[in-house]
Amino acid sequence: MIPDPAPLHEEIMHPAPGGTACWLRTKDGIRIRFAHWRSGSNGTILFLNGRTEYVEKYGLAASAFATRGFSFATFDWRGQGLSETVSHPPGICHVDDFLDYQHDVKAVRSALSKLALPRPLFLVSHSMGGAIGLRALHEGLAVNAAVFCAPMWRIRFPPPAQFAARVLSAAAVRVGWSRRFVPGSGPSSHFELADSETNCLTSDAAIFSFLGGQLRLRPELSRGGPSCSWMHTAIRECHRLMSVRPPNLKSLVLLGTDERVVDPEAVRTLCAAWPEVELELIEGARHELLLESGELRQLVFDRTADFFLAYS
Amino acid sequence: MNATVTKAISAIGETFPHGFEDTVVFDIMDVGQVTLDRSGVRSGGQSASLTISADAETFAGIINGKLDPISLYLSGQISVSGNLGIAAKLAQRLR
Repeated sequence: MIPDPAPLHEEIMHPAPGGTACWLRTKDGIRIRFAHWRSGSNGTILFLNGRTEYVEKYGLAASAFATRGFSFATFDWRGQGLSETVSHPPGICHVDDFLDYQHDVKAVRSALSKLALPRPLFLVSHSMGGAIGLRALHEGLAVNAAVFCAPMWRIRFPPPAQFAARVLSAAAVRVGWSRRFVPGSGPSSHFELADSETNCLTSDAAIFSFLGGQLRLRPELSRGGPSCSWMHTAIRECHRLMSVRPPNLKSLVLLGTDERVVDPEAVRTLCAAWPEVELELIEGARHELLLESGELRQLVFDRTADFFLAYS
Repeated sequence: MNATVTKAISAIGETFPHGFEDTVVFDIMDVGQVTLDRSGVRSGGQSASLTISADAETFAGIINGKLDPISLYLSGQISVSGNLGIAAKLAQRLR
């Protein structure tokens, strides 16, 4: 059967290793965009990206894993990229409940089987994807091994703001502000608000300007701040994830030493309670480990591929 | 006859006024079955070259063209047993 094709903007991907995209429909009726690259027989890497992100951002990763013999599959979360989105206000990252993302994972898991992508299946997740991915593993997502890059197991705020964010977002949801931007944020992306020096995502200036360029050419892919209900339910979900025993699965957690988006302390705490996990620090790396400077990201790709080959 | 089945029969009948060249059973979860074949559409199931199972709401979306059946199949919202070639042919006609 030929899937219903979805756009894949290869003109803004570099490299553009020849993937295909199609639409999926989640159990709760949301249309999401799924893309895959059937490029290697060592297995398929299912990649869960982070908040504000989109498929085209990871052409480089698709290609890096292809050269290491892996097929690659990823998708736009509901409310992001080209997946179905609440339209107001534009640029918002909104979910009514953080657990709604599990519906997206389930639809994608089904598509991986139906499209007969090479087995075994491996999980790579980044940031917000690391929280959703960990929950999915708790709920029975079957993979051979998992790599978590800068997982969002607690959002990093300065200590006084941690409490404020928690209380304010809960209050905002209660007074009906679920779909408003979290106070202090707006529709602008980090690529508009920061520059190559000050940004907290990558130390690679060329990559930073490449990603900003993608959004200037395809502004429909851009997202800004989260909604109040995103913040409220994300904080709650992180709290829950931290309080349950991690799953019985061989996992590798990678964390940059210059991490400023997620809380490194939470990552260390969860890893300490997880017998099957290896935690590895990437010296000098910021948040986006797969989009860091050349040497750092090669290290991340190599480490991930080697880890998976050991459990294939 | 169940009201949902009656509605499904009339909706499928409108989309396929001259029937369909293969035998297809629509298995509406917890409701009942509808058969579509050369002679038209009727209540009840039988041995078919293709059986499609989904809930009533999902079927309604497929028949009125609002939901793409292949996306639903890939996402696991409908299950299909039998000849996938016939499913593809049916999906074409529903667009």
